[in-house]
Amino acid sequence: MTVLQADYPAAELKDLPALRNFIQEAGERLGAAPDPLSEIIVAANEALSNILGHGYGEQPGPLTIQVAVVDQRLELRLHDRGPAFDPTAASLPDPTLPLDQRAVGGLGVAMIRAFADEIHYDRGASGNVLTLVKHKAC
Amino acid sequence: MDIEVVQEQAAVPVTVLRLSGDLASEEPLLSQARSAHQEGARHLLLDLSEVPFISSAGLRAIHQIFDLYRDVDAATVRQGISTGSYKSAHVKLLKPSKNARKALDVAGYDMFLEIHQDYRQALQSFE
Repeated sequence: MTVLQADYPAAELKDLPALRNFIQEAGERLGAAPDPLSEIIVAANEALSNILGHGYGEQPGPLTIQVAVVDQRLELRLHDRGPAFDPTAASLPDPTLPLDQRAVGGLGVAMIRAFADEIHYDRGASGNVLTLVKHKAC
Repeated sequence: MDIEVVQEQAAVPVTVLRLSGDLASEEPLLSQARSAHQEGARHLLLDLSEVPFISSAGLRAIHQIFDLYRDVDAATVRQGISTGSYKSAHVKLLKPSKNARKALDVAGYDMFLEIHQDYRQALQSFE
């Protein structure tokens, strides 16, 4: 199994386009098809935005991104050292509510769940590990 | 992101914002829509046909534009959305990409924003 990895010792919100580009290029190198790759990038962007914007409070923080294709599954692993945040357990927003009455990050969590086929979260001693998966990705 | 502003005359004057590039933040779209509103625009068509990527921040910009241009109170809008009887007469969307359309559906914006595929039909839908 080939895993393409990028380590960012001080990632910030302004790095989001570069982080998306890494995932795009890594997915293409691993043979991922355009549609599942574009969808996992949408999900990843929201997860990364939560990590860098809320988890690190818009301060630079360490981040590792791993991209792999396993049995036609495109797997994306995000590792950060921010406070614990489990997007699989977060509540979803009521779309009829005005913006100022919605939970912060709720829309992003809804997009993560909608654009990834599987989401796995693990909180260990080294921080948060979020894994996003797209099926039939090749 | 680049934004081209086009003025069209349908049944009412329509300001078209032609977006080009990723819609991954609230700006510059929000400022452009505010500026148009301050200059008198009341009917806005957001052309998303050249937007390959949209994020929740971009969606929030669209929601804030909807709030800025609406002419009924929030409670009436919410009730109308709940009953399926409300669509914005002032802000409409044109040709979102497959992923953008999915994001709009996830956010529930399709409940209060018309989404058109044809430019002329979109213009003619403003009354």
